[in-house]
Amino acid sequence: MFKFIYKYRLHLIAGFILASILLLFINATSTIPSIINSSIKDGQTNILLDTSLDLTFSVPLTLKERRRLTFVFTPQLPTSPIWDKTSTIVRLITPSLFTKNTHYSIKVLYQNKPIYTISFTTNPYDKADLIEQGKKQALDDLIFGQKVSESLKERPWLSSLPIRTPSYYIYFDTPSQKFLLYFVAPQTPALEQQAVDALKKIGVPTQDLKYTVVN
Amino acid sequence: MPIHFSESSYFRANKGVDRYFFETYLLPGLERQARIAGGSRGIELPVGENQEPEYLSLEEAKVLALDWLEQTQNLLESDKKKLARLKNYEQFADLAGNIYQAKVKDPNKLITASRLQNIADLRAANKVGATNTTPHYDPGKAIDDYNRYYLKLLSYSRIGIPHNILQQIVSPGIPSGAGNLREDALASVISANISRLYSAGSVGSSREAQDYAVTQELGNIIRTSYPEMSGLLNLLGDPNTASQLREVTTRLAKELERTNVSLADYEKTQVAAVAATDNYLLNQAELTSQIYNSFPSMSNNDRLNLTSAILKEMVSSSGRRLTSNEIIDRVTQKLGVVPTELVNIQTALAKSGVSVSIEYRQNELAYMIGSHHLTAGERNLLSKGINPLLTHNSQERLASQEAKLLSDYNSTPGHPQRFNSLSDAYAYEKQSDHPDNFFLQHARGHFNQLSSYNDLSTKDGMLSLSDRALINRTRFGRWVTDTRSRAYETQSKFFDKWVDIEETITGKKFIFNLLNKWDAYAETAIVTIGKNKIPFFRIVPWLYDRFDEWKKVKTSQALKYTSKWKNFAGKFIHNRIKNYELGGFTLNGAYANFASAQWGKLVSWSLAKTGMTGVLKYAGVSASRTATRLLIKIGGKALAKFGAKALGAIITSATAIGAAIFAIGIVLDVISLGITFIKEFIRNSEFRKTIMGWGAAIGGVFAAINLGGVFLAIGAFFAGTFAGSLSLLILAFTITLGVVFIAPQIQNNIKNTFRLDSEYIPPASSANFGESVSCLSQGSVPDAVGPGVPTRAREIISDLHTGFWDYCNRPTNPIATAKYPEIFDVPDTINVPSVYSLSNRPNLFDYEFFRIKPDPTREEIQTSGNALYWCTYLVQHSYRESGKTGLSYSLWSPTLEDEFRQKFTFVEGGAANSSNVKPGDVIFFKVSGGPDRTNHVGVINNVDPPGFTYFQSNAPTINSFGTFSGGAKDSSPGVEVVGFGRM
Repeated sequence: MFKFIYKYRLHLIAGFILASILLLFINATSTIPSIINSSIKDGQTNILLDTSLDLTFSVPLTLKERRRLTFVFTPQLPTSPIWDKTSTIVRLITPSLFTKNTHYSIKVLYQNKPIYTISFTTNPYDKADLIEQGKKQALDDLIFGQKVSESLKERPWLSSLPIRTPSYYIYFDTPSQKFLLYFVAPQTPALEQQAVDALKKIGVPTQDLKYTVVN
Repeated sequence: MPIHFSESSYFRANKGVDRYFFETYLLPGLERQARIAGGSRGIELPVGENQEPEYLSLEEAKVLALDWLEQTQNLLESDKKKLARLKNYEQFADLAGNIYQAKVKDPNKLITASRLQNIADLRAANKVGATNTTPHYDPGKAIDDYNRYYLKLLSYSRIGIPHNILQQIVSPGIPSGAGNLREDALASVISANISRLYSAGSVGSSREAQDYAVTQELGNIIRTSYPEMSGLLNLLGDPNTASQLREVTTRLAKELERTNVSLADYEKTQVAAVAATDNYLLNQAELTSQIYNSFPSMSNNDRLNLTSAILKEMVSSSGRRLTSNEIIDRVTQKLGVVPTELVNIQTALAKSGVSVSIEYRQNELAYMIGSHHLTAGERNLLSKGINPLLTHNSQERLASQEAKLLSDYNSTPGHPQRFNSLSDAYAYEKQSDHPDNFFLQHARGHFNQLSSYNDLSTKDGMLSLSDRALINRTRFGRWVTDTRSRAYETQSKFFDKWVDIEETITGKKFIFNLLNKWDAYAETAIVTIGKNKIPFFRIVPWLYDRFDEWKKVKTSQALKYTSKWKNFAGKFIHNRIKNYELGGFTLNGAYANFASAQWGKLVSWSLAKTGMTGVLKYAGVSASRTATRLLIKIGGKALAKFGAKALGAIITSATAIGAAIFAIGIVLDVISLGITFIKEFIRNSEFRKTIMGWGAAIGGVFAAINLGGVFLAIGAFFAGTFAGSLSLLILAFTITLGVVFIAPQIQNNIKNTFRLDSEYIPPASSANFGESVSCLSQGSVPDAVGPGVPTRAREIISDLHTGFWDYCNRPTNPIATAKYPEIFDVPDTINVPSVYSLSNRPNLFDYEFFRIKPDPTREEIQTSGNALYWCTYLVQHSYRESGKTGLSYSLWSPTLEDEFRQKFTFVEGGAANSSNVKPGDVIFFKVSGGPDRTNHVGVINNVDPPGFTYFQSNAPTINSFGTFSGGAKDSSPGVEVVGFGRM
């Protein structure tokens, strides 16, 4: 037996190498890569126009396998796939951004056969719209902020409200100019006094100390 | 109060209107200020440090802009009149900008140093230009003047200190092989744009600001005019480089002034040279005869063919700029000419001086094509060698224009004689010592347009019938595109105007209050029957909701059950139930979902077969855009109401009492529907746009345009399918007539509207609630009450700092704060890493602007769209990063409110109480004295019986509270709670 192995050792080694290559080849050609995750979920809406799509494959892909992949955007969009170090995640970057309020579908083909499909809808506003909206919002926020500042100037103690303890909550009701006391624990005169003291402590003047107990 | 320009500090500092001022202040100022409702203070002029702001009136700005254009641009009389007539400053800025763009925005693209030299050589060799020199106008001299100054600057930049500085800037950063990034290239950019750069650098209030301004301006110039040199942009970020650049700019400007040439003069000669080059070099019509005459030894046929081929190649190759030799090389390859003959042709063209014009016109067209959005037909014309920019007038129209030009000429006093043909009049004026330049310019343009219908390679010298038909179709396509754009523009301006009007409507507040009261009343009128609490005035929607819930449960059960069916019929049933689910649990939606998928496939296939994909896109989009809005927003609601009424009828009409309740319910519901409609119309700009847009679309231009598109498509379909099989023709016809253009897209949109969001995994939270926050808080900032939106909002505000106006609108940014030690004593530290990397993207704050203006006025903050972390960012980021992606990404609170009202749940402020407001809701505020609409938003954190607390950004505090007392009330007087949105 050993003699036989020794005699034909070169044949055996060559055969083993050939078989390994063959197996590797068969394995490499027969496995179709699958996508296990996508940064944009199928059916997701309001995707920002500069979003890039990351697709995660179940196994690292060889260069050859990558070349067999095609990414088809509908409506058409040029894209450049960029692979991460591990060769499992591909980021699809679209140099021309997505168009607003558009339904896109992306098909991943492997050797021209679809292996993954995803569709999503983009945001109804583009960057220019958002910048315009932001400018308008800044003006509105400014007006709001001025009102709040005036209010805090008039009643500095407002900044210490509401008081929320395990036993009671205290809010200030601006229209009625009264504090609203809500007792979480059973209401007792001592607890009520404790709440009033808490208000005095934050600087509420005695003449403003009008309150109602809310049930 | 606006001041006169001559009294401004800017003018007193010896600065007049130049290109920089025109581009940076006049045009944008007119455009922006014209939009300010209630009047503008004028355009703010640059002033020195600690100086009172100065404003220029819009009318004076208009006059200054017009004067400058007239002075430097050889404005056509018609353009001048049109501009002067325009009362609307925004429209004025639009048109002036277009004229400016078309003529002189980037003179250096077309008048390069080598081209200037070529023209100088032509003149030296006494080659005749297209426009003759007269005692009053010498185009050659204008070119020479500019060339002289330019070369002077360039040569100065190559010696001494400027040379050393430029070398220092460029050398260290040069990547290998970057030929365009040489010192010479940078010198030529600076020399050609010295006026703009110097002006930019003389405005800032500090040395650093001036350095920065020069760098910014150079960056803009490179980005727009020298894309091939964009590698230089990488070198501009360094403050040292900025300072060096300004130094070079200043030195070159001083050198120019030393030769008694002001920057304004330099700029004028530059602009004049652009016009002169155009006048001096031959245009397409003139090239025809000149090219032909360059080859006297060739046979007539060969000369015609060669001339035609060169002219066509100049057009068809205009995708990029080529040299004349490259153009000739391509032509000879196409004609199959031997290499020795190629050299002869090139030499002949160079000798006659024609090659300079060939190259210039090809480059000019390439530049113009690059800045135009061409239709498919126009691109097709280009590929055939026909210039689409010269065929926008039909031959018939050109003939009538010619007659008019001639009759105008003959009737103008001062013209010595009458002519029978335009070419005779043109020839006469061209030789005249006192030519009518206005006439010459128009007639020359006219002949150029006429020449585009010629084709020397044909027997009759005219374009073939099919090419002329293509030109006509293309012109129609251009008309449709332009008309559609104009219609959209008008519509959009009308809506904008409406929004302005709406702000000032008297009694609007009263109507709003009335509507709110109705809502509050309808919300509280509840009848309890058994376990059911039924809102009496909203009985029908309530029933509909119950029915909806029932449908969802049953559908889910059916789907689960049928998922086991594996045969064909079983799968078919399962898939139809799936359609029903995706279609919003309605039969109509199910049909829409099913049909959309099927039609989509059919249409794509059919269109691919007939090659008409573009037509569908072209004709379908505008129709469906308006139609879908209506169907979904109005039709959807109407259908829901109708379905609900039918259901109500079935349930309640079974008994006499039921019938009575039903009748009352219907009456009340009709009233409610009417009120809802009016309220929606007044409040909701999208809804209003839909209603008005739809009316306008049906009644007017839209219908015509869309139908035009449909007819075009039908014709094209027929043409495409006649060549194929009969079945394909029938299929194409059926699809075209019935459904192709509108239905699938509407259906598709319905499908998208009803589609449910997939599961979303929010980013891992690393919140640290114990950290203190930099912004002022009201009371102790409570921990978030639960996971999801409140938690994320809490995390985000934990990483906010005070910014503009001392409001909490600056996201954490350790890098930027370290960069500005003069503003921030200690760099920021990151509280919540996931917030830093996601929500509070560091670029959401304009540090440079903050450094200059920490307390900007309302007008000033408008200059920066990404200045700070608006209140709406908090809502958007809290929602999105908690997995709630159904909300569209908008940054204006009224738009957000509209969306909640339309798509999700909205509780009116007047009807809010502790049981119908939930943590995570978005709270909308309106401020008395401000615009009569929602002004601010926040995120509800916790809800107690007496009140609620909320988180907010871009406000003096990061949290605040309100109470429930007859609806929701905010703690600040004058702040009204409009309502609460939930999804």
